[in-house]
Order: sequence, then structure tokens, then C-alpha cells
Amino acid sequence: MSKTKPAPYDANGFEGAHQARGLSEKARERLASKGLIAKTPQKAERTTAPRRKASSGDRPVKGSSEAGTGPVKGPSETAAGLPRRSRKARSLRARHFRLPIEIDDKLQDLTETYDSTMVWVICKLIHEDWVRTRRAMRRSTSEDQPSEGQPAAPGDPPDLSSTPTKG
Amino acid sequence: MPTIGAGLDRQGDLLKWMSQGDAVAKEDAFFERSEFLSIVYSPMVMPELRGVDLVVIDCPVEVEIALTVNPSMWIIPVHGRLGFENMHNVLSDILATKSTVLVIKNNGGRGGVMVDRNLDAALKAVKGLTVYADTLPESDTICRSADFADAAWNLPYANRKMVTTKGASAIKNMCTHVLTQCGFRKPPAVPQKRK
Repeated sequence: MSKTKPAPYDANGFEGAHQARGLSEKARERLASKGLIAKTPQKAERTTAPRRKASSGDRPVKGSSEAGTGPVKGPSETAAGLPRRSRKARSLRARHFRLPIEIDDKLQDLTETYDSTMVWVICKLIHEDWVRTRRAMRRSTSEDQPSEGQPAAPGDPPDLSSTPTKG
Repeated sequence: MPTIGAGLDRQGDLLKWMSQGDAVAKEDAFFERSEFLSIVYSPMVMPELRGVDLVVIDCPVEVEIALTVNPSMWIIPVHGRLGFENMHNVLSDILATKSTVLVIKNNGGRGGVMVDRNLDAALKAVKGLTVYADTLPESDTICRSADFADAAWNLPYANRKMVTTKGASAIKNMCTHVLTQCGFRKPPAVPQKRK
């Protein structure tokens, strides 16, 4: 049993909530004094690890791809064995909608086929279905009232470019 | 075992919890709870630590922050429809890290049996997840552990009549499971005294 009575609720707020991004200087000093962090200060705004330049003294150079520009194949390990985030830039695929699993798989497949975004694929499918529906409606209307050389209705769809646009 | 808790969430819950509201911790954004356990507050940025056996990160839900972390294991507590659906906002990115994604069903029993049943069915349909077999129950003990700023199993009434309460034992088992999954040895069982 550690305590018999909880501490009263704190109404002073959390001062750290106004702290700039990253470690405070005091926290960095205390971590460095315990040997838990490199003493070199980092930029507070930086969210990813800075790219390390390859030096000939560290390890033998295998080829030109070792200069730090080649893709990282997996999570690299630091000297202490801690995982480090891959430095390879990767596009985010987060989204805020969810579809049934089987439809979602097909959407992913189409997205990869077109090498575009899910939103673009959905827009394309909706547009194509809209074009098809409009044509069917126009055809049924023209069968009821046959007339030659009728101009296109104002709501007729423009032809959507088949070239996917990323975005 | 040298351990560091890193609070990336701007609320600083991890630091507040572990420092038990210590005023000095608010200023320094660092708290040394014991020889082997330190807590650091580093809002939105993961510090590059070294020489630590275990790093526990309290990560905000923003995918941009979560993806700056490369853990051995993601732990995602989930409850109900919104919890499941919100997990999907970032799931594809988290799965792409190739780390173990451990989903823990939280607050079991809240909302009725159908909530738990629907969550089970939904989780089964998602590929790539590891779902923790047990469910953390809705528990007064777990809830009040924030009041005491301590582990649920350390609360005064976590051991009623020398028997650990359901909530306290559930969360302790979950912690043991996580540590063993990370490669640590299972602690020896301590026999409970009974009258």
C-alpha cells in the first residue's frame, strides 16, 4: 500500500503545456549528466533525426550508395541497440473514412494500379457512374421524344482526364 | 533495468502521473522517480535516448508525431466503435512500420455485451493486428489509479481481503504480457497470503 489518501486535485494547470517542442534545456542537461542522451544540442523544431554524413573513418565504404542517399532497408540500430526511425521519406496514407473490408481491399488495389490517391479513385468512379447514368437518362428521354441533332444538355458531363493527379 | 518514460503528449500526463504532481517536475520537465526510472517531458518530439533498456512512450494520436517514433511495439487501447474507427485513421501507417501492433480491448463491459462482441468481430476482420486475449475491464481501481498517481495494483484497496481485485490483476497481467513480448523475462510469481 503506497498511500491511504489521494492528493487533492491540482487547479494550477500544467506549466509544461506552454513549453516549446522537444526537450527543455534543463531536461537535456539532466539526461546528459546521466549519460542517457548525446550532449550535442538539437534544434527544438526538428521532428526527425538529422541525416548523418558518411565518414570514411566510421566504417569501410561499400560503394557510392553508402553516402546516405540510398534507401534505408529497415530500422537501423543505434550503438545502444535502440531502434531509430527510418529516414526514408514515406507518404502518409492516413484517412478519415472507413469502408467494408472487401471494398477497402479493392480500393487499395485500384489506388496502386492507378498510382494515385484513394480520393482520386473514388472521384473517378463516381464521375464515371454519373456519366453512365446521365447517358442512360438522356437515351430514355430521346426514345420518348425522338429528335435529330439535339444539342447536348447543359448538365452533360465533361470528359474526365484519365491521367491520375496526385494530391 | 534502466527505464525512461517519454511523454510526447503535450498534456504531460505521463510526467504528472509518475511525478505524482511534483511541482519541480513541471519546471524541469524531468523527474527521477527512482534509480532506474526517469520520466522526461518532450512535447511532440521524440528525444534520441541511449543506454536505456526500456523506453515507454506516451504518444499523442497525431499520425505525424506517432510516425517519428519507431518502437518495437505499438500498444493501442481500444474501446467501442469510435475507438476502433479512429484507430483506422493511422492504422495503415502504423502497420507499415512492421512493428508489432498490440491492440488491447479496454473498458470491457462498458456499454453492454454487444459493444464487446462487435469490437471482437471488427478486430478479427483486420489483418496484421495482434489482439491481446484478455480485456481490461471497466474498473474503479484502474480509474482511481490516476487519483493516487500510482500503479493500479499498488492502490490501498487493490488487494481486498488479500486478493487482488479484477481490475488491478488485469492491468498487471497486461503489463507482464507486454514486457515478455518485448523480450524481458517473466517475473517470478509472488504467492499471495491467505487467511
